[in-house]
Amino acid sequence: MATANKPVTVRVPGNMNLEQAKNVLASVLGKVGHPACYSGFNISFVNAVDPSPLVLNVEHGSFNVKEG
Amino acid sequence: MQFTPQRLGPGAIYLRSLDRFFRSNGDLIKVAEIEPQILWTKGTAKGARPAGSPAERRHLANLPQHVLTHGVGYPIGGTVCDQTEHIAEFDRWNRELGVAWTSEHLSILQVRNGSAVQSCGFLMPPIQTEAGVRLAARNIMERRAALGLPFAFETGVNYFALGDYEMPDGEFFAAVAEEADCGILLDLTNLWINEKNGRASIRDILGRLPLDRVWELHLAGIEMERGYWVDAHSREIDPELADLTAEIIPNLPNLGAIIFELAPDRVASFGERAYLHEIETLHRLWDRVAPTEAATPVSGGRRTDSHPRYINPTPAQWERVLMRRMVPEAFQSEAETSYMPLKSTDEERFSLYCHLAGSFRSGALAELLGNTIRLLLLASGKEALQRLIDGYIATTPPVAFPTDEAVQFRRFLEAHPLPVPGLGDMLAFEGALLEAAVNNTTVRTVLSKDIDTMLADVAAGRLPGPSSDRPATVLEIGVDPAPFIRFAQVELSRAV
Repeated sequence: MATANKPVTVRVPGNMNLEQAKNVLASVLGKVGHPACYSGFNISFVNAVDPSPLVLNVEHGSFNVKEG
Repeated sequence: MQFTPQRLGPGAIYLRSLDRFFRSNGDLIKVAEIEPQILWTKGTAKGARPAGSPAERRHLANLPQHVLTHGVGYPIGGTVCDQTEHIAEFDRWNRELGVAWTSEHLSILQVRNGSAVQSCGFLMPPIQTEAGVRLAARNIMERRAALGLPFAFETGVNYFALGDYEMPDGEFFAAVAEEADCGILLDLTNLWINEKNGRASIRDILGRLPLDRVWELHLAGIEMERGYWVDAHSREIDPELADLTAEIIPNLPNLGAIIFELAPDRVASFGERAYLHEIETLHRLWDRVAPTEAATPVSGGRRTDSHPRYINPTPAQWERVLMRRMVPEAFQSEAETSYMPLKSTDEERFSLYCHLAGSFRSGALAELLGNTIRLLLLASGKEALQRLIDGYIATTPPVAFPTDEAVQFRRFLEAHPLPVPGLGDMLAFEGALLEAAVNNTTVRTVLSKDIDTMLADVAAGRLPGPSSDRPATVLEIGVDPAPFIRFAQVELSRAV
């Protein structure tokens, strides 16, 4: 098998958008700090694998949460 | 010490997701307690120091509340106690936010492992011996001098039974406070949990504390996990705990703030009305605070007696035990040996601690690599995913920052490749997001699938199919001056 490196030009696709990718970036940005100070069970993984128990109760739009 | 805290009032732990809520409820929430480290990021380079954003500090300085800081990540209970690495940044936050006092946990997070320092992955309790008192007091005095601020330590939760070699909790807290001549952040939830789990009576503890040193209270909701009450910050304050707090408050002459705590992973299920109800509860409790003119300066008297009965084990011996139980065996230094015999109940509680620490590790992965985790779930099912995560946790060491956890998991998956369609692309995409975020750099990543189609598939519960295949594209991701993702037109070199 040949292993020579060849330049390949990658062009910007015209029929793809990045809206969902931008949402993921925005979500990650708020979560990269040190864990908060509590000594209990973190439910983030449980919610990720079984989101059904997560009940949203967002009122007046003040809580900036989008999960559910 | 002659510090008398100002009466700031009821407040809550600030979270980014609650920013608008705090700003629109300045009349009810009087204090915003900021945990700076949860707002900091740590770069992926070896030796990178965590730091926050100047823009975020300026944003927080405009909060309508009084601001206090509460340290997380650099507790003062152990032989490994940072007094250099984070101090300059913490000091910057304290000064710019104009805080009157600051606090940290009387706990242990890092321990020695041979010549290295290793995170336990969870806040662990200190050993309550004479040497433990002296160690904590020395750490507090150094931290206070480094920060130039009045300092209070937080009374922690402790899932172990009290050892017969240990000072009773109240005696230990009192001894540390008097030896260090500092304030006490009385976490009544932690003490109530300790009582409910059979460790110590809260009234006995309070009976031994110098109550004039209590500057601040923490209150939170608790829950049951594996047969123990745990400090989950998960819900409303239990009415029984609120009644107990109401009884205690009139005896705290120098109380400056009462803080409600809700964990970030519980915000989504809590709701605004429930949150405001908790703040109203705090106001009712605050009404029981003694009038300002009754506040008395804390006496400058320092501890003069000691308890020779509580000599052993030493803090170093206890921390070797923590390292043995909390760090996977493959990462333990062979030079370390454990000197402390443990009871079967201690082993059972270590099992609980490991379970809780594991929940934080898997939680970090779910939060930072959420689409990768969902993709693995779709491909392999819940049980297989849980086995994969359990295997990862059992064979890799805990780390302090969740971003380090995500980087470590990515390496783990790369070393243990799985035949999951799109996994490489998804991991590359989410890894690039993190790298851009924590290093504040523009990152390029090459993908062979349409990332939005893949994300839509995963969100809909479908494995990415051939419809998401694309010729190689390059994504450019950055966060400065504002977050962006765009396609890049570049020349790639690839092996052919």
